[in-house]
Amino acid sequence: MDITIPLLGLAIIAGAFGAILGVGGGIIIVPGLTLILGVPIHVAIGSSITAVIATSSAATLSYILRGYVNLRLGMLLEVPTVIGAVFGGLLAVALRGEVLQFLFAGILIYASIVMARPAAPGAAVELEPETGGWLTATFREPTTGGEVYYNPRRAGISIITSVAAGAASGLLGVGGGIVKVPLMSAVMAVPVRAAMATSSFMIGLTGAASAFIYYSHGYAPPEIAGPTAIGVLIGARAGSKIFRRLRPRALMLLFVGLLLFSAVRMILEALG
Amino acid sequence: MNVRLHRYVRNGLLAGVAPAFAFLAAGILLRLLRSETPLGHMPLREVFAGLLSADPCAFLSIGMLFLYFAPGLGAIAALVAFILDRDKQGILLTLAVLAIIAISINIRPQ
Repeated sequence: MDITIPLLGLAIIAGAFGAILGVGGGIIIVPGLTLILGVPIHVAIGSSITAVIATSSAATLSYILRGYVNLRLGMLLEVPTVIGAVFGGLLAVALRGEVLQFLFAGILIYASIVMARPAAPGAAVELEPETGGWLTATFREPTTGGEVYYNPRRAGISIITSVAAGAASGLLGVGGGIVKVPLMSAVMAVPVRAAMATSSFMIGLTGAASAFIYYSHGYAPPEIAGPTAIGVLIGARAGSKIFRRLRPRALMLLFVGLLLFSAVRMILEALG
Repeated sequence: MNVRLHRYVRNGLLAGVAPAFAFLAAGILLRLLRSETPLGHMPLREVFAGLLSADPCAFLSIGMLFLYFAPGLGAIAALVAFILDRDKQGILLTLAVLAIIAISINIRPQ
């Protein structure tokens, strides 16, 4: 049976869930492809990276003219992130599938813990204009109509952490937003809206660096990666439009249970 | 907000994303119509010939390559804007990102 329609269906569901729950498609699409459709994990990760580039590029296009993306901060953090992504990609193509399944199960457990915790209040936002700082940026907050000024701090610590985020992205095909957004908002005092938009911009570049490695090794076959990318994109657009204000706690906890179940299944498959 | 920088990046990104989505959508449509066509990784020289014969795999491959290059096109557009703004830090950081991506493009299986 041709895999295109089941792939599209799975990817649309993954994209919609990702948008509803505020997570990237990667942590949904990789277990979906491996556990439901039986796709080898290297191919699932290569396809997930392709989908992640599609969704992050589309998100960046919708945010960028509103000024939410801090391009200077993005470029600063992207240098270590993209180095991490290349090493992660190279490591992934060298590792056995069982090892990747173990590592991915670890990421699923980490994502479950992050999602299960009640949302912490956002970082304090400087409302007075900051002067100096090359990274200082402003944007108009749509909910209040006011201008938000902020000056990112602790760039040094964030640069080191970014290498790890990039490596996780290249190694496991996840966007890394689950690391980058808390890093920028909690550590660097970047407003959450700007952190999410800047993270989206960065995810595309990070994904591109490792995508070429997967593609050249034959781990992003067009008949799987192509429909996955389009499906996740359609699902994410639909999910964000329909459920823009819907983040029900019960659905989130159900999803956490599903992630943990997928993690256990992956560990069991890896053990044979 | 630096309007020029943001506008350039948007245009650069769009130059990659728009053809990528068009080719991917066409590839999926052709795949659904012609499911008997062979699948798999396609070398670049075969991709162009495949486009002329409406091979779904060729459309999907070229769409994916446009997609992979899209963030890089956004970064190249950012580089142009940083050069016009004489923003030395921006130029250096963007060049570093682009150089690492260029290296990753040239990594081939052993």
